[in-house]
Amino acid sequence: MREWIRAFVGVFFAFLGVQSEADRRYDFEKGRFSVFAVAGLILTFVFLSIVYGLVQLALIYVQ
Amino acid sequence: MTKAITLAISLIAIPASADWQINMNEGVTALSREIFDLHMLIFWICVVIGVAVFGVMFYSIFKFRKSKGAVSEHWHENTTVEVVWTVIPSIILIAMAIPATATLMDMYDTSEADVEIQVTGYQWKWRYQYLDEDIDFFSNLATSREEITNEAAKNPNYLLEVDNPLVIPVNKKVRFLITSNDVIHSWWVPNFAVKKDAIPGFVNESWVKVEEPGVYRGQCTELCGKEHGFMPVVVEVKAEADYEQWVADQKAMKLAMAGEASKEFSMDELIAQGEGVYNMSCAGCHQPNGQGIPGAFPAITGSTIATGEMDKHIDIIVNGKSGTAMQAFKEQLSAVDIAAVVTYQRNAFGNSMGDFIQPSAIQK
Ligand code: HEC
Ligand SMILES: [Cu+2]
Repeated sequence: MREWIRAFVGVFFAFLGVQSEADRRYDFEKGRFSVFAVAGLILTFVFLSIVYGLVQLALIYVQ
Repeated sequence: MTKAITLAISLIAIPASADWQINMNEGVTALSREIFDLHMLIFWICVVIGVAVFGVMFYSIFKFRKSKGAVSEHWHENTTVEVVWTVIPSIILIAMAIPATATLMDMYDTSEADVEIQVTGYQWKWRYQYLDEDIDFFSNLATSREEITNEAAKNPNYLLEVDNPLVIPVNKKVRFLITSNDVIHSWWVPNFAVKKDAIPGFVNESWVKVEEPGVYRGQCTELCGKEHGFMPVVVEVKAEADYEQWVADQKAMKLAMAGEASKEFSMDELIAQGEGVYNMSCAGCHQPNGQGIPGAFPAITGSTIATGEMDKHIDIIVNGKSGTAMQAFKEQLSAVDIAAVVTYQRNAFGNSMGDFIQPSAIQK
C-alpha cells in the first residue's frame, strides 16, 4: 500500500514538473516499474477527465 | 465582473487613442467589442504579472548587490516554492481560458444567418457570390495606376478602394464562406474582427452583424503574389431598405448587361471600353504598356496569340491557360468586356490587326 501511495505521489509531481532530489532518488532505487506504469495510466486518465470537465465548465459559461 | 473591469480599463484607454493608435481596433460589432474586451483583459493580466515579476527581480538585483556584500545562497531545491510557481500560473491560464472559450464559441457560431455570401480570393481581387440571390461579382482595386506610380497625388483611401464593394444589410447576421481560386489569400476587415484564410479547396466560415451603416475597409492579409497589396476589401453596410434597393438594382443591371451583349458595337467603342478593362484586369501582369515582364508575363505587343487567330486569342482569355497565372476570365468579365479587351489588345501597344469582334460572338 505504501509503495502505491508513493508511486502516485511521485507521478503526480512528475505531472507538475516538480520533485525533490531525495524523493526522485528513492523512486528510482526502490520503486517498481509496473507500479509506476499503472499509476501513470490512472493519473493520465484523471488528468484527461479534469481537462474534459474544465471544457464542459467553459461551455456552461457560454450559455 | 470581468466585463466591468475591462470596460473601465478600455475607457481609460480611449483618450490615448484619439490622435494616434497603437492598440487594436474596437470595431463596430458586438463580437468585435467582445474580442477587444478579452484582449484588454488579458493584456492587463499580463501587465500586472510583468510588473510583479520584474519588480521583484529588479528590486532583488538592486537590494542584494555584490557591492553591498551580499552573498548568494547555495540551496538546490525548494519543493514548496516550485509548486507555488507552477500552480499559480496554471490557475491564471485556466481562468483566462474560460472567457476566451466563450468568445471563440461565439466567433464560430455561424448558424441562423440571414444572408450568406461566398467570398473567393483570386490573384488579385475578391469575388462575392450571394448564395440566396442571383448576385455574383468581382471586386477590383479602383486606385489609379498614376497614384500607384507617384504620378498623381494619393487620395485618403489609397489602395483601400474598389470598383464594386461588398454590400451587406445592417443588423443582420451575414455568414461568409471563404475560399480561394488559386493561392492562399486571407480576408480581413479589422472593424469586424474578421480575418480568415481563403484556402483553395477549403471553405472557412465567419460571420458578422454590423450595427452601424457605413463603409468598412480591409485588405488581403496573406502574402499571395505580386499584387498582394492591391486587392483590398471594401464593405458597404446599408440600411435594410437601401440594401433591398441595391439587390433589385443589381438584378436589373444583370438583365441590362445580357441585353448589351446582343447589341452591335463599333470598333472604336470596343477599343475605348477595352482600354478600361485592360487597365483594370490585365495590366497588373501584362503591364500598362503591354510589354509584360520578361520571364513571367508575356508581352501583348507582337504576341503570336494577340496578333494571330481571333479564336485562339479569345480562348486564352475566356478559359485561361491551366498551370499558368493566366486565369480564365469567363466568370469575371462580361461578353462585352471580353470582346472589348480582345479588340483592344489586337489594335493597341503597336499591334494593328484592324479586326474586331462583337460580344454576341463570344462563347463563354
Ligand atoms: C495574373 C497574371 C495575369 C493576368 C491578370 C492576365 N494575364 Fe494574360 N497571361 C498571363 C501569363 C502568365 C500568360 C502566359 C501563359 C503561358 O504560359 O502561355 C498570359 C498570356 C496571355 C495571352 C497570350 C500571350 C502569348 O503571346 O502567349 C493573352 C492574349 C493574354 N494573356 C491576355 C490577357 C488578358 C486580355 C487579360 C485581362 C483580361 C490577361 N491576360 C490577364 C498572366 C496574366
Ligand atoms: Cu491575396
